[in-house]
Formats: sequence, structure tokens, C-alpha cells
Amino acid sequence: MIALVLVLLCLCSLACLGRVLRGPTLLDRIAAGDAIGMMLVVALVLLSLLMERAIFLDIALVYGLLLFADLLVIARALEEKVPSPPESDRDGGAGDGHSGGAPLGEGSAP
Amino acid sequence: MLDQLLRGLSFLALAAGSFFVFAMTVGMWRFPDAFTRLHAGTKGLTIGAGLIVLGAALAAPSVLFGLRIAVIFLFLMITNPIATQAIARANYRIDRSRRHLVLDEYQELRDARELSDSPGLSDSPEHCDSPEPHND
Repeated sequence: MIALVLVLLCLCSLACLGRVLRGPTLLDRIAAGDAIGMMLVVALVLLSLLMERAIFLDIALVYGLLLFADLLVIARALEEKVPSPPESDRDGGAGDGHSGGAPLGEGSAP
Repeated sequence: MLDQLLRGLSFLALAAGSFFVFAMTVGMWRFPDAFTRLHAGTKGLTIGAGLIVLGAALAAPSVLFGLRIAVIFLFLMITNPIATQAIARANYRIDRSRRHLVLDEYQELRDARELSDSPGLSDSPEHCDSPEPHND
């Protein structure tokens, strides 16, 4: 039973990978990537039951935490303006009045 | 007796969870809009993955193992809606051309109250791959 659910999760992950590749907008890809990450967290939990090792639960927890933090960082990074080159505008940064956080790619000139 | 009951409940939870995950996958392919696909993904997985992890917690070999799996269940339940709300709000703000949305009730609310655009909108379309998606 657990092996069947594991196979189903892997097949659904492949199907969502198709949506990642195909999705016309950025939000499609983010949604499908989030879904794939969540399904792999559950797959790790089921794998820990199959192999009867408790370490996979720790790996699943850390992976889920990283996924959550990544999504929040992506959401924050989407709201900031595209940074201007360093020689033209020094204090142009966040587009919506965020006071904290450096703009993206400040050190790397385009 | 209790062992049989736990295994039966675990089987039911795993079956229901895998149905919801399958429904989520179908919705990810069939929904017409990016926001509806995000909605399908998070609704399907918050319930489906939660039920599967609950079924795994009931089928655990020891109580301590089951408690550790229940921690992952709590974590999924708490973080999935928060991340989805953040992503949806960010994408709604930066998406300048909203003509491709199927239904936009927030825009109707803003028009009714005659509010200006929120300050989080950016003028450059560089964040989106293509703000006008083709129908697929």
C-alpha cells in the first residue's frame, strides 16, 4: 500500500514537472514547483516507513523548511524593482517602499 | 484489535490522500488560469499530503516514530497556506496586464471603491515571462 502511494506520488510529480516546463507564466512554474516539493516531502516520509530508518524524517523536515523559506524569498524578490546600474541610481531600490534589504544583483552589473 | 483498527484507518487515510493528490494533478493540467492552478495545487496538497502523512503516522512501527511524522504533518498544514498567500499576492501585484485572468474580483472591488493601484506594482514586465499567455 505504501509502495503504491509512493509510485503515485512520483507519477504526479512527473506530471507537475510537465506543467513547470509548459506553463506560460511565471506563476504556473512556481505553483507546480511548490507542488513537486511538497509531494517529495511526503515521498520522503513514506520512504522512511518503508526502510524503517528515522533519518529520512529529519531530511523531510529540513527540505520542507527550505521549500517554505524559498517560496517566501521568491515572493519578496518578485515585489522589488529591477535594480538600475550602480553608476546611475544609488538609492533606488525596493519598488514598494521596503526599507530593508538590498536590491537584487547590486554587486553584479548587467 | 487496536492494531487492526490502526491499520484500517491508515489504509483509509492513504487512499483518500492519494485521491486528492491525483485530483490536484488533474487540476494542474486542466485549469484555465495561473491563479486557479496555484489554488488547485495548494488545496489539493494541503489536504492530500496531510492525509497521506496522517496515514503514515498511524502505520508507524512505534509511537515515537508516529509523533515525529505528526510534526511533519503540522508543519505542512501551517506553512503551505502561508507560502501560497505570499506567492499569490506577489504575482498579483507585479502582473500589470490582467486581461488574461478569468475572473478578477479584487479589481472589481477596487473599481467600486475607486482605489488607485497598490504601490507594489512595477512598471517593467521583466518579472513575467509572458504576461499574455497563449491558450493551451
